Amino acid sequence: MTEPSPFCFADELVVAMPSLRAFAVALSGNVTTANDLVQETLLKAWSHQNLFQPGTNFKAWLFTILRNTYYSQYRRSRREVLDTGKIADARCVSPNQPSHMDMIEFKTALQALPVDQREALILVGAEGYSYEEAASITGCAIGTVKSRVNRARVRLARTLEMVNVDELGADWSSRAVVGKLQR
Amino acid sequence: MASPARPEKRQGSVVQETDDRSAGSAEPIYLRHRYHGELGQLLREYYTDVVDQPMPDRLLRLIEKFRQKEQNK
Repeated sequence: MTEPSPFCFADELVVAMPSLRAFAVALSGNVTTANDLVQETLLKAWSHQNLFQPGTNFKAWLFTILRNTYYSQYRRSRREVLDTGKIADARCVSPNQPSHMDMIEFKTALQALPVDQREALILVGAEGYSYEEAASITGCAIGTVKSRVNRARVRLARTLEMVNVDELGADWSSRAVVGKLQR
Repeated sequence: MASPARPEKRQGSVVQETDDRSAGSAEPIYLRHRYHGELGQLLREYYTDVVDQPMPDRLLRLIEKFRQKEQNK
């Protein structure tokens, strides 16, 4: 039987960094602030690496640190973040994309969401965390995460004038399984 | 009959019922959602676009410092 490869902290940070940065951009709406957030998160994780429990979800641990850092240090400048979000929008989308306008509208609508709804939507809908994991990262109840995701998708659909609100629900096969389990 | 408490794992468009805990995995398996429709697609495109962006030099330099410290241990 082969031995499991040793846990290399720096290597694991490199693997998690792109997602961590995307989460930071979604939270802050600003690329420069997001980079600052990721840098602080990396430094905190490095200096507290003894607190990470091997075998648990490393990326989720980093997401929790980043989120806490954001709420403790950056949210107080929310007005500034909202203003600069539009600049980040322009930076993040290539003008050659055929759906350029759709994406700009989407980013504007996403940044207009309350931050608790935005983070829940990103964690579950984009990053692929389960409701349980998202609840653990955000430090709230599973029902709260579900409610925030639902409110976010309804608000986005309304802002983007999408007729079918269910367009951002769990996919049909997931619903079928959940429905079966609930019967 | 499947228990509601038993977590589910999705891969692609197929829902698979698995229980890796019996194989010694430390992490529980949860039901994950893959969002469909135009909004789901926009959300994934938005996120993938940021994930795929090159990492800033200052973050890469920081990781390099960490690596050097690990090697010097």
